Amino acid sequence: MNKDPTIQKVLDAVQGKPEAIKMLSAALITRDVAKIREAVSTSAGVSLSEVEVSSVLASMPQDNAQALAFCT
Amino acid sequence: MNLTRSEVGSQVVPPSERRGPAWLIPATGRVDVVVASTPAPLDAQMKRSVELLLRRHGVPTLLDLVLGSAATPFVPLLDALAKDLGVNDLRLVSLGEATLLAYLHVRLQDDLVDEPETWGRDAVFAVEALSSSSAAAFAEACGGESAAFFRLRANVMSRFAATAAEELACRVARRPLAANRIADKFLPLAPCLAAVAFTARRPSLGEPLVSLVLTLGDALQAANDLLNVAEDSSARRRTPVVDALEAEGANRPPVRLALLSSPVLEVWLERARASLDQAVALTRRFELAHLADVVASRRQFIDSIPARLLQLQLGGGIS
Repeated sequence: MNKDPTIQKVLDAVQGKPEAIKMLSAALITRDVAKIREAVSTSAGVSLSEVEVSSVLASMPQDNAQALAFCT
Repeated sequence: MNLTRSEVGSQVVPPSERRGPAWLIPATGRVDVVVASTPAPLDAQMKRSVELLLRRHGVPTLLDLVLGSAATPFVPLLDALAKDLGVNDLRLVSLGEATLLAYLHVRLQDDLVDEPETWGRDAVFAVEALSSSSAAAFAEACGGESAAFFRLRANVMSRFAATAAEELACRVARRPLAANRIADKFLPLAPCLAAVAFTARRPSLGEPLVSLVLTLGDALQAANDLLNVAEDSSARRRTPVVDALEAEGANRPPVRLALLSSPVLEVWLERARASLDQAVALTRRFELAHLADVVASRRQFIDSIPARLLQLQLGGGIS
């Protein structure tokens, strides 16, 4: 579970929907609030306020060097 | 409480305290004994290496490390094969010990090559101690089949070492490892599974199990390369996935989002699924039903990759 309820709401909305994840990702790249709201609404049927989208963008980290060892 | 190696191997663990298969706790206990009984002055390096490895994964014990949701599934694979081949006595604890030590050996070796300053040059001697102890535990389990087992192990580990050397050369030259060699990174798992077959007096299964690891390894390494795309890109590691994004002109931060919205994702997910299907078919051909179930269960993990990537990008970590 994510600590941020808005992020969790977004993750729950696109869970198991690869096309929705793809649309949302493309919108997130633009960092355009209106496009992100539209992508979540169209692909996952969830309505997010501008404040909620801004909060998601603010908490989205830049690429980092978080070491995740999935392999042997 | 300080137990000797044989006492650890025979201790009875109440079912309520069990995590993972029944043999796992005594096997990890034996590994703890190996680590704790390393002669001075190597003991300090050995202890430090194991502690650093655990800290990097954010877990307190080896048991937590191997049972982690993102860990290589060698514990369930070993357990399933042992069930298929009817190995259920103390030799299974030796196989578990050998496998865990082999895992530590390869992990420490990889980390030492990647970050020699962090681990220290003398970590190479800890690697040797872990490898030798692993070999001893394999010999204990395989008994009369040991010579044939060690021939197979030598062939497999030589191929693994050659690919590791090639990967290092690729890193220096800033080019990706050839896509048809990515599965080789999982080769150290092959002797661990083959040892179960030799222990069960089924040596003819040795080579098919190597083939299984290569097909399963292709699926798992494709999954690794997808999940680690941001870290690989930021560290300038040219994996085939990073290279494919680069070819599309899409290797720009945030890289996970670039991957999620690129056709590269589906190409590599399909590759992982196809390899996994081949691995399942191989296990079924040899009537290894428990092993087939464990291999097939990785499909869910592969299908969850887009959601995991998005979760990572939104700062949620991996649950």
